[in-house]
Amino acid sequence: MVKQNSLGQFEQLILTAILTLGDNAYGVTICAKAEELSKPKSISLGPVYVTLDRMEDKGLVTSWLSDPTPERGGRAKRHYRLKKAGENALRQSAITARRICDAVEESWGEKIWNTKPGKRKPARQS
Amino acid sequence: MEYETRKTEARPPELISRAVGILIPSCIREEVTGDLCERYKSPMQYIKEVITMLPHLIASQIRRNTNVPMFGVQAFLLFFCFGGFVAAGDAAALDVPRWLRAALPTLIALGALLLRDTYRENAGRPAWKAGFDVVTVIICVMASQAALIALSSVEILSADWLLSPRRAFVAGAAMPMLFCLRLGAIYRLPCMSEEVSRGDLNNDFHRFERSVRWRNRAIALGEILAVAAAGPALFMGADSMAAQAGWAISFAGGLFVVGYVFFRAAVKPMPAGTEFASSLQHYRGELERQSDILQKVWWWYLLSIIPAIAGSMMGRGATSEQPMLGSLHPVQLAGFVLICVLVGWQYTQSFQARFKTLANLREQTLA
Repeated sequence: MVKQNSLGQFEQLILTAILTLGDNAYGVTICAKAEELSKPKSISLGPVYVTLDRMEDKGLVTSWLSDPTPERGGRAKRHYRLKKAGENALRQSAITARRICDAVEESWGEKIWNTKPGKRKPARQS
Repeated sequence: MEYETRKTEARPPELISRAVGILIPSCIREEVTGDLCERYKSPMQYIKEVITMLPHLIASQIRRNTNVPMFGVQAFLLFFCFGGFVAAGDAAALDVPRWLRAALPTLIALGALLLRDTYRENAGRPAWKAGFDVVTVIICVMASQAALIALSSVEILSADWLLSPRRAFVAGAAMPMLFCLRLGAIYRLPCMSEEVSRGDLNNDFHRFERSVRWRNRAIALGEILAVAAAGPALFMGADSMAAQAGWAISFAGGLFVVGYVFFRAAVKPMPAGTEFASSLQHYRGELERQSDILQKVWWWYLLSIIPAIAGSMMGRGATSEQPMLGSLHPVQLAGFVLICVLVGWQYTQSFQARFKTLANLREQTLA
């Protein structure tokens, strides 16, 4: 039996951030993107590094150091990229989230998917 | 949303930047200080960010670098050597329980080892790193004892918190064992990156080769010292033929292990000019061989200890209330056996983890 990586909510955020950032995924940008995804919650760099380390150990992401850049005081960036296992885990999480959403919509009788927070659509007429 | 790298002249003050560089663990210093520099707005924001980030970074590095089972064995060894397992009835009444007196230097030593795990450089010889770990422990424990002396001299604390000279001597004698344990812990090297070059592989193999050489020397030296120093005393102290025969078998077993490790457990050098796949195959083969050797060696160690225990028990009677093997209590002996088993298990685990990494690497590279 193949062991599936189950992701926590913060891990899902970080993986999504890495996925959407593509080649520009490194500490600062991942943190900013994750903060944007988790609005209004703010995110600091510390937990982002911890999660990235943990996911690298789990084989979900891979990293490499780029060349030093002058705007960072001549220091290199550590870039991240999703590995196959990371993509699969994220896909699985997204499917689960979708199922949860469908179940909630069915129970409440209203659409919440593709609805901005705070702007609920009126309940469906049965 | 597009994230553009912020091009700004604002930089953290040099002094603060250097101090932060020292606080951040070396293996992540480059990228973390770069990220902090990129997010810099003001000195206060910079310091605040560092303060909030640092506990996370340290915790993460401890998780990554600390070998938990081996750390448990080290904790047991230190607590044992500082007298944590000495029964209350064995000594005169003290203000402080013995386990509590032993717990303080143990916790200080473990804290020092955790910090060494966090801030250790990846490069360098494993033996030097293990030696530096032991020196750090000695310095920290001595400093804590000096502080206790100062506190007891002004009568803030009882003098019973201090380790007795005899206990300090026993703890000092345990430092070579701690060295061996640290050497084993350092063996768990970080995972290789996916895209590894021939050069990286060669460098890693040389590190592995050097590490095995030092491990073999440490095992051989430890065993020779144990046989030469403790052997005659234990053999003469055994009060029956059965016990003496048991110890004799143990010492012979120990010497056999030394000989085997010395002559058979060296790493075969990587053949020059081979292709990447062949080099990888050689590395895998050597890891497999070393793993087998270590499994055998540790079982032999254990098997050589069992005759001594059995002989002593037969000699004095297993149900005797008296401490057997001279001053060695059965609980202490059991502790030593437990350490041997756990260290052996840990070595095997380390090799298996490394072997698995290499197996994945081969699948990815040769696919």
